[in-house]
Amino acid sequence: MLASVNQLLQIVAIGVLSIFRPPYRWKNYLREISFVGSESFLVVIICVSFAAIVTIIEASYHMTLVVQSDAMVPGFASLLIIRELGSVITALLIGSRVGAGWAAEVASMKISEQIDALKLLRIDPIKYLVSPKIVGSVLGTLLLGLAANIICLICAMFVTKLKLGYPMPTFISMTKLFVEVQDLVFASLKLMTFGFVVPIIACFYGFRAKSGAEGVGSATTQAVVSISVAIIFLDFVLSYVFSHFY
Amino acid sequence: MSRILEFQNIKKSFSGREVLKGISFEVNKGDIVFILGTSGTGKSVLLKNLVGLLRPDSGAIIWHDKDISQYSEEQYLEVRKNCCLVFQQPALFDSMTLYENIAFGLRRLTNLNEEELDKQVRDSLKAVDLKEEILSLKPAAISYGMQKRLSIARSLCLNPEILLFDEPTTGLDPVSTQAINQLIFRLSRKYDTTSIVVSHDMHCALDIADYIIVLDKGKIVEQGDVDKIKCSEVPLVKDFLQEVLDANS
Repeated sequence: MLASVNQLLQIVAIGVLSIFRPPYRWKNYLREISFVGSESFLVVIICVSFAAIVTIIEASYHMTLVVQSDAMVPGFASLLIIRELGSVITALLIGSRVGAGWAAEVASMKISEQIDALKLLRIDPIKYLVSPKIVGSVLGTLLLGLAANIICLICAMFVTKLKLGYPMPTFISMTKLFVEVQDLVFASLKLMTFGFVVPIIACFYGFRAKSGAEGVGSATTQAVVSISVAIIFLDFVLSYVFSHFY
Repeated sequence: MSRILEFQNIKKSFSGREVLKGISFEVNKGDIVFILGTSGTGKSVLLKNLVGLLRPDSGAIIWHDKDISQYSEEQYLEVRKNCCLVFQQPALFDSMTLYENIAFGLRRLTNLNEEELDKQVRDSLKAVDLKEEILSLKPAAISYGMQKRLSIARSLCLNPEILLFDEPTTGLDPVSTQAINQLIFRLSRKYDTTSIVVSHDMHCALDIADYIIVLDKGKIVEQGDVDKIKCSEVPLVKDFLQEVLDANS
């Protein structure tokens, strides 16, 4: 247990510090940003769009039931999307798609002795493998999350018009009324935090992989489960902290 | 012949399980030394101790009259430049082309300019009987046997003093196995390189080894030249020899 914590802290410390130490492998950074951003874009957009539709439908049903009015739905839904849905859904999807890929990549490198080969060439595997993934994941998750929020809001706006009959300018003005700049700042902080934990956990399990195909599979599964739990837990912690500023 | 390397009473344990129980032997310059033994006897652990991927719990590894077992990571750089390990798996970097795979180590560990580096890459490829046309390919595009050869070229291009082979023929068909064994022999003689080969292939050891060490349960149970091994009365060695006889018949 102590050894695992030590290894995790080592990955965090060396992974972060190495970002600021030469040699800077820009190609690797760009590759990871592209891996996170472009390749996850479509799946994230599809999922947040459906989440937006469900949010509007559910919110309107319950608000009508409880307060006999759905006038607050656009503003309430926008706030929920910005504060929670956009960030958490994006992070969970990146965690399961990108995190699984990274865990499998590192685990395969471990069992095929590529990690040892790196060490023999005096290359720190954490600097070589983890640091670019941290940069790629933090920036990629932030950009993708902000894009997801925008798409999610647009989707919500269309559903509000079609289902509830509110015109688009009403949705926009309600959004402006409910959502403040600090909500966007907190959403960005959440996204960057989620983006940070994905490569850390994925590589941690990758480095610990046991030999064989089963070892790679097991490392990948453990990584995805842990990433999902970490994101949900961190969402709670950050939401609690941010609630003191509202 | 001059002694180039010496293992002195090397011990290594993992989670309380003693894998190496006091291994001592010497390696002479230019020799091909085979370390034989069944799986899990600590053969690969021995090689990894030499290149610093693992550190012995006790004992000394003497290389050029210096105990390298206590070297720092920085000091190990010199050892790793001169003692190159060819892994059991080809361990080629999937994201790089074959050219980049060979050149990667040269870029990291030498000060060659691009022209010299290019020549070194192509020379080492030729030495392992591979064609230059494959250099632009990724590792996944060539066969496992070719990957093994390329991993030897990757180590060879550094002009090492000692080449370490960790089960170089594992997973290969008999024809490729024979070809790799002959390649080890040819490279060792041509470049006057000392080779330490970890294997369980007694047939190959009898063919090309100058010196054979047999490990069992973390201890050396027999060592000597081919003639001595052939006459050994140690049960494990006799089992290995019997397998060779069975295969030949």
